[in-house]
Amino acid sequence: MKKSISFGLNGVNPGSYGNWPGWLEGCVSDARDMTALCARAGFAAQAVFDSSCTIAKLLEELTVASTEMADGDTFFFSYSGHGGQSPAWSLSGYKETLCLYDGEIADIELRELFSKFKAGVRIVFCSDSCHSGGIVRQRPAARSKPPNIKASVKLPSKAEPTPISASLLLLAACQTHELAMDGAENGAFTSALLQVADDFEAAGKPLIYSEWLAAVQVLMLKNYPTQHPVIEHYGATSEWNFDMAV
Amino acid sequence: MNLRCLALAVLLLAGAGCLKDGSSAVNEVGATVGHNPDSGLWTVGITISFKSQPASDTVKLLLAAGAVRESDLVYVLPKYDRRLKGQNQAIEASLREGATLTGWKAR
Repeated sequence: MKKSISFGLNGVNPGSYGNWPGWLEGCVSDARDMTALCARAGFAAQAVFDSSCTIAKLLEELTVASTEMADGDTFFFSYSGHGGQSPAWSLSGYKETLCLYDGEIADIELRELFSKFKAGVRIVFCSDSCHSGGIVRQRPAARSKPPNIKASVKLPSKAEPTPISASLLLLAACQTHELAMDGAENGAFTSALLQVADDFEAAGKPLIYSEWLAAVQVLMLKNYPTQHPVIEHYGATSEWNFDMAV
Repeated sequence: MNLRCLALAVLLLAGAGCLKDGSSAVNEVGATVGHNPDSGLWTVGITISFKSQPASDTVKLLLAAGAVRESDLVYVLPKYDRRLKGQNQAIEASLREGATLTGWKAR
């Protein structure tokens, strides 16, 4: 089974963010285009936009996927929207978050959700958002939640994070301390992902994730030198070099 | 959330239009995506499957974008090109209705 879900938010509920509307332009387009890309690479692909991108929807999608996917399956999750940082004890001094429509979800919570996937499942998490390089980081020994983020996921009481049994590949728009640029059509990172995918397709090259991101990093260095995309692997097995279409 | 960071992001994003990648500036008429039919890596088009009857406006967008109706719940875009505005509108409207996209190959 190959399944994908793409979240795209061109705004958030102001009432959940101190009257901040969080307007963006290219995130719905990002989600739409990533969904089409996934479909053409063999995924059963769906998307949710704007006010449908709630914390509950994200929890539902990741929980359902973790339940139904088995050894050999691939789950592709893309997010385009704001990324936040909340003061906390960590290497960067912050927790990284995804700004969903009705509130934020923290890196440690996402990691906990990814830990529910079974061994042998490949997860690809593509985040075109600010600070996304740290969005799946391992929880530090102190497992306190960011103080101003409402808890969405029940975390285990032990100090060590729950190990990820699946293979999780993070494709992030920028490093933890960097911002990700929006655009009228697509975000800078998604635009580069799509451009390189087009180039690979035209050349008849397979879209191997590590090669895809390496080419995206080169393109971004040329066009957006302040934003450095990240590719990182988490989980039990090391799988960086597989083809999106397989 | 770090509000100062968000404020900075808003300021930067306000001017981000000038940073837009050239790849997204292609007009919709006449744009084609290269495709190697021998590679077998990519499907040519997209199948759009609905769980229930799509809204008439969505159907209009699909047909205007060149989609072929296979049934009440299934439409096919035989050739997908992400730079075609009409296709994008049809796909976005379909996704808003909970449609699932899958790849489509000529047969």
